[in-house]
Amino acid sequence: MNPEAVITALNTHKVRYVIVGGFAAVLQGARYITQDIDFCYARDDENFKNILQAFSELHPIIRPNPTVPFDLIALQNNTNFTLDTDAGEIDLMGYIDGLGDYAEVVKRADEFEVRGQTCQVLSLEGLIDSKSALNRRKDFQLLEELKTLNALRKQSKD
Amino acid sequence: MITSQIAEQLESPEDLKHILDEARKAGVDIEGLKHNLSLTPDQRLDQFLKALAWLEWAQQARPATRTHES
Repeated sequence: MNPEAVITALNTHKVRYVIVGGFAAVLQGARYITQDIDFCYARDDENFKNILQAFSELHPIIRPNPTVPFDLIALQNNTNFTLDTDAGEIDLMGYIDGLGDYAEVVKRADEFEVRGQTCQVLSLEGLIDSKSALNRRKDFQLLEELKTLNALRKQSKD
Repeated sequence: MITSQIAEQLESPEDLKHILDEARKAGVDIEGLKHNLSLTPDQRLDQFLKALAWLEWAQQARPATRTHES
């Protein structure tokens, strides 16, 4: 996994995105291991164009359908993608359960500086809401960590 | 009421103590999380990539160990 390469490519091409899911939890301080990076992205023609330019450097393959090209038609007709890329597995999501689309998700993001790149990362409260909405057994431990991080952060502010 | 609204209301030390008690019961490494909060995002990323590399190494090493044992 090469998060730096992905974030740099997205920023270079001015893609509007928010880092969500397990990797966002890691950047917020969770002790969690994930093998993919999840992004919520804005679904409009300008962002589609920028996404395709950014991903052209990463050679994306759509996971369940490797013969289907990751192109404008794919983006216009589908909301969520799992991509195998040169920088590792990437999930692109147009909608996040418990939060909504990019416009809603970005309102709940924190700005982070990672490897010299500015990026939007879903807040602890946003992560708690999205993981709670999914209500998956596999997220139980992470959800407890997120609640604890949130409490510790509040404690340190007092 | 969504969870974050509940979280916003967790102001009192009793509420925080309750969350930490529940976390301990669930096996959360509270000291580890406190340490992580003291790190920069870049340091958190370094720590994560190191742990991921170990995990991937262990996943690759496991079948070889099985073969050796058999």
